[in-house]
Amino acid sequence: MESNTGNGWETVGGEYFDAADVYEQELRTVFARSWQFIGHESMVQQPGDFVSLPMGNDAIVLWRDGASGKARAYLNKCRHRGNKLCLHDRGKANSFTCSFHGWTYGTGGQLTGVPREKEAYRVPLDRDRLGLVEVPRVEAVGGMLFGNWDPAAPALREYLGEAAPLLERYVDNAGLGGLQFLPQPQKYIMPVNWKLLAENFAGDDYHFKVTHASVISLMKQNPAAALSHGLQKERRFTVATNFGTGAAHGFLELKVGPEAYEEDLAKADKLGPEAVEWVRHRHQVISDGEDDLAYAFHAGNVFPNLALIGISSALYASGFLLWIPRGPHETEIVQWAAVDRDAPDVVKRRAVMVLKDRQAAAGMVAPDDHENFERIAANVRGTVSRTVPFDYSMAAGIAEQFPDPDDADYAARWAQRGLGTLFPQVSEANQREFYRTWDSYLRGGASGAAPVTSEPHRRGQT
Amino acid sequence: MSATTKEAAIDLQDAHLLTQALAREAYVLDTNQYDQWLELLAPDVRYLVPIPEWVHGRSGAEEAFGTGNDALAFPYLDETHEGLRLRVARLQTGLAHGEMPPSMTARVVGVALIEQLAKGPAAGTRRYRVVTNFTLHQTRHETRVDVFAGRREDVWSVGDDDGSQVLLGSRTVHLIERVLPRAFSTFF
Repeated sequence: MESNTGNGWETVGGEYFDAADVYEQELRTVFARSWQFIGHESMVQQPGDFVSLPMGNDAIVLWRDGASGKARAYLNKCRHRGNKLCLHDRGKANSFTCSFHGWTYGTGGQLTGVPREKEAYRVPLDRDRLGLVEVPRVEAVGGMLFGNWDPAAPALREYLGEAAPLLERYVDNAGLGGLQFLPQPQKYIMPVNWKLLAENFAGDDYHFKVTHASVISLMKQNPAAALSHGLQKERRFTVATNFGTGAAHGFLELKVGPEAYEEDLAKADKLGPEAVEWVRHRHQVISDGEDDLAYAFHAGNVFPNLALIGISSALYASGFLLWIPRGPHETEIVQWAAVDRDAPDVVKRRAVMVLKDRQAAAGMVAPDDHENFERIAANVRGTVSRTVPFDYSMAAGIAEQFPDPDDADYAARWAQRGLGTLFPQVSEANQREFYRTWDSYLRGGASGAAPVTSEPHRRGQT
Repeated sequence: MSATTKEAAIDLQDAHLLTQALAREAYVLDTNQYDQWLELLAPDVRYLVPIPEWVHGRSGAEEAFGTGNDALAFPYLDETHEGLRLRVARLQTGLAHGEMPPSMTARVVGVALIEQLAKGPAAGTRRYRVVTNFTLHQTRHETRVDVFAGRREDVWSVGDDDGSQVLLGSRTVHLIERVLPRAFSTFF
């Protein structure tokens, strides 16, 4: 059992959320060498199916290649003058033709057409050299596709480490048909540095009762609107995967005990027997005969910029949120809804509406987060203000994590499963882990596995 | 002459009542009188804000705004009266940080295209399709002003016992922004 010792990131300088040079360094290190979510198999099922989406601050096209059958990812950029090639958010196309001079590319990325080639170029153009720029590494866990610009990066499964089995069990479970992504993502801006959003989903259960007090108040007045969060007696934990070693992927509100399942059954009962049967079936598939296993976790962040929400319930669609860096003070959020493919329609429809009402652009949760982040972002711009660090010292150095022996026992049993290290529900262990990983990339690490030192990277040092 | 250049005359008093209702709606929302806003909505109102997107292979208006008839969609909002009432109740808890202090907003609603529909939902009422463009300017902090813009496709009913009641029966808000300027708890 790991103890929650500090890792040197008990404070984080305000300048890391403000300085343009730090931001540029992140793009060249974190976003150039880590695995990033680039879509899902279900988005591009047939040859020629494509979706446009961002990867870091680059525009890419995820395109199902007819010849190889693979979902491949390309920069959305013509090799001639750099024009944008794919102009739609999604659709089906066997080729893209540039609107500038007419160069044409096929689903395998090959340059297939060059207008007036013989007349203009005289000698044959080296088309192999001028195919689409492809994301060199695309790998999947479940149907979730991740890309990496670094050809030498460790395998995705190694990078995810203990997070991989958690994702395959609770998020994209093949036994439930895998995930079905709804085709249209919501997109909205939060005027704040991307790291504050990422660390929030990785580890910050502490903020819920204050930031989202309006929602808690509402559910007390309106039982029909009840959110499960914070009103139950079950045991809850924060999960740190690859603690102190590899890339830190953090998960929140691991729910242990029968309450969450029983609550889902009660909610499903209002939707009819088909929904009840689904909740039972889903629980059986996920628990896979292990009575002691947690029902679900609620939210998380896969380093660096994929957040998850709504995993906690069969009746809450899975929200996939990408934190797209658009500047030191601006993050674009691309948010999809996904449902278990085998779920009955009545469950799918209900689950998507619940996600829409909660953690989404016009939900009852996100606008209050937005407000706090916007205020913070304004505060880190001040010359003096940016020199004042943020504090992440919660329970750092406290060896005894669980005053309740039952919690300690459960955490010890969980550790043996290889599904991560448990911390109390309210903890800052995952935030410190996030910055340890971030720091290792800024130092030049390729895997997030650079050794932890007692002297974290500080500006001006290398 | 084409259908586009011919307009069917509509009852002038109804047209007047509808444009008054549109102005009143913007006014009560800009002044945070949410309860009065809810009173303008029919009990069976549907309030939909779909996601705008460009889909390859669609044409005309659908290329950008879709059909609105997807079996399973993830819209920004798709609300009943109860859903809207809950959102208003949350803003009125005194704990909704995203509207504390309340945003300064200005809704600018363009000239309304008004067409009478076949029949009203109840005896003695008349139903109209009302299309308006709008912008919503929202300030929360010192210098930042966020702007939402789009087109609203409404169905309103006019008339009841005394002939003057105007109610919004349904609204689809086609935002023209692919990336919204902020997470929002405002209404369009």
